[in-house]
Amino acid sequence: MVLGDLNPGSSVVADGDILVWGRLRGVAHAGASGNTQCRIMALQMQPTQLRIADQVARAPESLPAQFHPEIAYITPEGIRIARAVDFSKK
Amino acid sequence: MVSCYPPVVYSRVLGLMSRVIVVTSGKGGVGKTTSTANLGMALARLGRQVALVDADFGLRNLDLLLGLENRVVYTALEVIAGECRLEQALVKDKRQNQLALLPAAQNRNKDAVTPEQMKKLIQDLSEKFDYVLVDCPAGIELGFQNAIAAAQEALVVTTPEIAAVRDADRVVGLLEAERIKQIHLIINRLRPGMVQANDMMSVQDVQEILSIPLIGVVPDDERVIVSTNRGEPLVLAEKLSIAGMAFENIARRLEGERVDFIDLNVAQDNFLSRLRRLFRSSPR
Repeated sequence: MVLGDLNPGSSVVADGDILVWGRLRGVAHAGASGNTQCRIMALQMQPTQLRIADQVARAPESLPAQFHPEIAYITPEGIRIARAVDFSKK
Repeated sequence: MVSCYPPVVYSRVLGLMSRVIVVTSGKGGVGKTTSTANLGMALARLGRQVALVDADFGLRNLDLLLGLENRVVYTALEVIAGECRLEQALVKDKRQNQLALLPAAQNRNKDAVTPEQMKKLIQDLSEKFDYVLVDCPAGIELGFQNAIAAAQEALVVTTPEIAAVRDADRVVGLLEAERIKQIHLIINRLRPGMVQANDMMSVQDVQEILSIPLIGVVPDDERVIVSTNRGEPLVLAEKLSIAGMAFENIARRLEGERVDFIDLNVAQDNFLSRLRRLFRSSPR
């Protein structure tokens, strides 16, 4: 868990989940030892790169108009991001 | 303009094997990384297979300037440690697929690699590419030793400032001690107006001190900053800036072409300075 912002050029690597209470702008690698169930959560998700277990994803080129707390998780199609509000409903 | 770049030197090397060139300066902030990015891109556009190696472990920037930051997955360090294959770490440029970048690790310092490991790595690269450009870190410590370990040629970048020239002089000495004989000079961030007003060292002044052959002069240009921020090298611009042109010319000179130096004085000529010159030259 990171309290604060993760700026571009920085990276967090964890064996478990990553929770950023702030802006995630760097690289985050959750489940570094191979756990594909791990998630990355951030109040403001605008990462350089997201990695979960052995998967890698880049952020979309354009920024969303508004930021919401978001969660990144692994799906069969790769890493996907969902708004935290929607994610909990699933 | 000043002593010309001898094309003979390179025609010998051309076509034989890949060329490993280190871009170095001694002092920081004079434009090593900018030069590496632009020359690499320009050479790739000339149809060469180019690999750029960021040797600035711990403070890497080359990926940023090329706009490839978000595509870096593995770095040189993982390749050296045997955790991934070399091809996996190479980031292919999205605009120019002749160009590939081998990024440096960000989370370690320069002591993480030894010159022998670097040498091995660059030798592996040179089997696949026509050019391997190594972006050297500032300073003359282990990072510098790593960067020059496998180099056959060097481009020394300096700005027309005493501190930068002094450091460049020291670096030239060190390169020669390492038996790198092909050393060429790039003078970066020259401001022709200031040179004319005698407020800045001229190309001749710098050359006199360093006495190594000149391969290019790049003027100070605001667009360099814009291109750095956007991650798009200058040589990619549709309408080339003078700095972009200068970099392209350096790349062509590296290829053995004979390209005339740009007359920077003309470039910044405006109505007022022309008028002033007219008055100065008119007989009284």
